[in-house]
Amino acid sequence: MNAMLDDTMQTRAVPLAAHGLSHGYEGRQVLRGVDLALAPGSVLGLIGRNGAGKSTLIRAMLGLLEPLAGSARVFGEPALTLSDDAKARLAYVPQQPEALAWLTARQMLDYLGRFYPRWDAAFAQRTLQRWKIAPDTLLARLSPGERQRVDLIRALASQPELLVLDEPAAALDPVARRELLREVALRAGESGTTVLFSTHIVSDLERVASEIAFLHEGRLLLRCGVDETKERYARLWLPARLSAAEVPASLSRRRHEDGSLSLVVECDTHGRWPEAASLPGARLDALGLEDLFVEIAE
Amino acid sequence: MNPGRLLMLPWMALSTMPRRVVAGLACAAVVLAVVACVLSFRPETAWALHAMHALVLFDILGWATVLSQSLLLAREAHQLRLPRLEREACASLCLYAVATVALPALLLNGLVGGTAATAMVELAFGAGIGMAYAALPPQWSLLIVLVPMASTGLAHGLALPGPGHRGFLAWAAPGTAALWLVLGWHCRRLIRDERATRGNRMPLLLRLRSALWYGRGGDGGGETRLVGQRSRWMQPGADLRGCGPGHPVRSLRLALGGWSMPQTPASRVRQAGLAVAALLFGALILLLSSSSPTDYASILSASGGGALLLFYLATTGPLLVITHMKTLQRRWNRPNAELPLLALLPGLGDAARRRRALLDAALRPTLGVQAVVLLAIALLAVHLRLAGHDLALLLLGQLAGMGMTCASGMAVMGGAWTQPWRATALMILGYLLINAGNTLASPLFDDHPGLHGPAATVVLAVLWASFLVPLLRLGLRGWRGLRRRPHPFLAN
Repeated sequence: MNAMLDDTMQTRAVPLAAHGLSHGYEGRQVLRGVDLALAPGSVLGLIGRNGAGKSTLIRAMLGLLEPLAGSARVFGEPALTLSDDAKARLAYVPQQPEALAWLTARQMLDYLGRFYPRWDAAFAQRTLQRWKIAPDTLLARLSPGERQRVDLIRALASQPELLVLDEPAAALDPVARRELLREVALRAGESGTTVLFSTHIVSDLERVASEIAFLHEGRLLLRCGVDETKERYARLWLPARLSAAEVPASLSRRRHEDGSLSLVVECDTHGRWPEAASLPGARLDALGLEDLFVEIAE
Repeated sequence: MNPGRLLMLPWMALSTMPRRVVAGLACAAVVLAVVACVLSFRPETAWALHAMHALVLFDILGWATVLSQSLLLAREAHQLRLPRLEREACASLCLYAVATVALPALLLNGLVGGTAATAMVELAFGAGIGMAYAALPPQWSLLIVLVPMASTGLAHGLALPGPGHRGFLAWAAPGTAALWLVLGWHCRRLIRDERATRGNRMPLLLRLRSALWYGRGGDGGGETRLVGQRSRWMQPGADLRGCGPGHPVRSLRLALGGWSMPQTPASRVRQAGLAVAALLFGALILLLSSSSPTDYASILSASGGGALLLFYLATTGPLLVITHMKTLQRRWNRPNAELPLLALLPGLGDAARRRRALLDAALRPTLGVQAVVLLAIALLAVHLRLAGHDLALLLLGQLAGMGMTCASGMAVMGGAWTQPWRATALMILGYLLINAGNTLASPLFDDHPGLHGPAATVVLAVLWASFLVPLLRLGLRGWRGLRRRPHPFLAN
């Protein structure tokens, strides 16, 4: 009985979790059994190439689409049937927000603010001024970057416990991008907000994320702390004469024209690299986050 | 320059689907015209006149849809710094001017007699109307399109001789030349000056480019662009009073947008003014298209005005379905817009309450207006002493329009709009049937007694059944889909 209660409590504590999520469009599989859970207060950067399934995963995790298989939970509730309480604690900014184009920025924030019990109207007004957005201009007349900023203000003003951002910096200039990242880091650090954001700008991840999850062709290939990547993953190069030897399990493998082999390998829980790394002629190179991304995605 | 390539250029500038549709429609029109000619052959028929009218119509449509694409190509070639392609596109326009104006005029002159100059002026005028529709700013396009409709009345009012009469060329030739001079000047600006076609001045040719190339769904920002380009006084002003968690229906109406969202009183007055202006404009065109003072008197009399208003109401009621359907389709086709916002918005209650509120917000405004129109039609029909079967036909059309509102709305919201072509064809069939019924029942067109017989009733009944049964099925599929969905804000 106690074990069941603990289990339930644990599930409730997880702000966002996906189990075996699979989805596809027009016969093409986009997600293949993804498992992912966010610890409270963590900032998880979801990284992957275009079409890797990042937006679909986020939408399925928030109950914005019905997955073909698997389930998602938000604050312990099924994502597809969230209660008002769970929704009030959650904010989501889609890629290229286009909603309510017939309202002005002020009207949109006023309208949505009425639904959120912890809405910070002063923050919304202050940030509109700070980001130099004309409050009485129709959203349809704002540039894509300005619209994205209005939507970010909308999301942050609701003071969410879980903030989900899908490519939030895609339309932002470098200054606005840095301001956004600072705000996200501040929220996570001071208020303990859990953040999930997808991007392919690796420097953004290094700046704010505490963890990264790598989605490739609908599968979650790796998940680790940002600082751990250099210690946990490396590129193992085997010359042609060794490439026929027993090759260790790897995240990616590429054979070069001269017959040599490049592999992305992971060290085990004791920090040991695969045995092939100690063969004479083999070379092990530490990988930065960007190199790791390119090696796996290429 | 290769003439074959010049002839192919406007077709190459169209994307595959519109090219196929236009080519298919053109072939079908030619086949239908030939069949009609064969079936209705009489030696005494004025073939030259009919052929000329058909060619003018062909020119209007051809220049408005396909041939104007060369202009778009020339503009893009200019922007991409491809002078040869730009020259080819301009040469293609000139070649088509010869092929669709000069050549048919000479052929017609040679085959059936008449004056080549008159034929050339008429064809050049038709081509000019088509080109103007595509290339001029939309406000001008609208007026240009109405010119042929109003021409009879204008010619009568201004005492201008018609095509078969002496003196026609004296006014028509300079008029057509002036039209082409204006078009030439405007086309040059369209190609070379990007700023000249921004905002409200953007011609239909450019507005439809994205839709033609990328399809309706691909042009996700189309509505946003449209709202952004609309003049401030035409923009509906949202009224936020009464929106909030305690008022889900009003809140959802605001979030769904369109004409039925809560608006400030000033905005409502502006929108009503626009509707009245449209009504007056329609009446003006009808007056202009009448050819004699007795027609004017008949239209302006109490019964004539009543009949006109009755017909206007009967055709306008079902038209609301189109705007209603388009609004909902836009909402449910865009996964990054209002749907995620509404799906995650607290304060709208549980799934069942949200579904009820959504149905109320999405359907009631349109159904309400349709019900008012239905009542007005009934009262007007009684006032005009319409026969029982005519009144029944008019009311059946309005009720069918309300059915279309419900079925299309539920199909979109319930994810049952899975075969858009089939559903759209059903809606077009419905609209045609309703308007056919309106025409039969309206006192404005009371000169077809043969269509009131038992055979016509049977044909009408079969046609109505072939529309209502699939409509009912579509609505039921939508309703089941909506009930099955865990929440109603899932994109299609």
